Amino acid sequence: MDGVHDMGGMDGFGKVEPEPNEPVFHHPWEGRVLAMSRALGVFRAWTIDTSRYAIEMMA
Amino acid sequence: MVEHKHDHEEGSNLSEMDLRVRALETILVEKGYIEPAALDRIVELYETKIGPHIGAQVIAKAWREREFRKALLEDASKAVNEFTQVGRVGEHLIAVENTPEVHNIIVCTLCSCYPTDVLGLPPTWYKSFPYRSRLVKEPRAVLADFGVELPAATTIRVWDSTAETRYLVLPMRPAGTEGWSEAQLAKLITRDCMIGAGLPRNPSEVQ
Repeated sequence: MDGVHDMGGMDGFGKVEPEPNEPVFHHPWEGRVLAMSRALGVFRAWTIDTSRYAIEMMA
Repeated sequence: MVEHKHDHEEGSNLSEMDLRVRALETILVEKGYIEPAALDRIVELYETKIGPHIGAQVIAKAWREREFRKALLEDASKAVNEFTQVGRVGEHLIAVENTPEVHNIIVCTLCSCYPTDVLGLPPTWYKSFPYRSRLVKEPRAVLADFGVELPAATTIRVWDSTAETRYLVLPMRPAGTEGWSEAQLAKLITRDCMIGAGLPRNPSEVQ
């Protein structure tokens, strides 16, 4: 199966566009979400497998 | 055209995403899972401490010290531990060496797996659909998007990362850097060249 979660070799997405001097976070909420994800991971309230499952449920 | 009757709330410029994330944080705090101060600290770590300067130190040392280079290529997870500031590298890290014959470049076709402990958070383009989809099929065209052109005879080897295994490219040391210190060499080493999407800076650019 291919699709948005397994994209190797798919056509039609155009050029790669690097952003010069890209900030670590474009919006403050990005940092908060990352930090929450990491913090919850410390005591396994949120694991990489749970996370992957949740991501794949979105599309 | 649909009439726009929605009144914007005064005094708040928060986007819908800001509001959602704040709500999530509030719930997790109330349930006792997290403390806001701990989140501040994690954000600060990623903004100031964990970034490609760590990988650059690793590569500079590998360029100067034969024994370290050997150790890095044999077991990168172990070799980089002395450089990482947040404890042990969680994933299995593999260093892949560029030579005149082979150029290595990394991707995660499944999402955004990346050697975060040594390079920090991945740039947006690394997570983008064009990069994830095209690199395995036409790596030379993708390199051209970065302005990189390699000799036709050079083999391009693409490494697809996973949740457990991450890769770090060991670029070729530029000629004309004999006798340079690790700190001098580190200035040549860009994030992109450790992904394989770029080459080290020209020595004349940093002197």
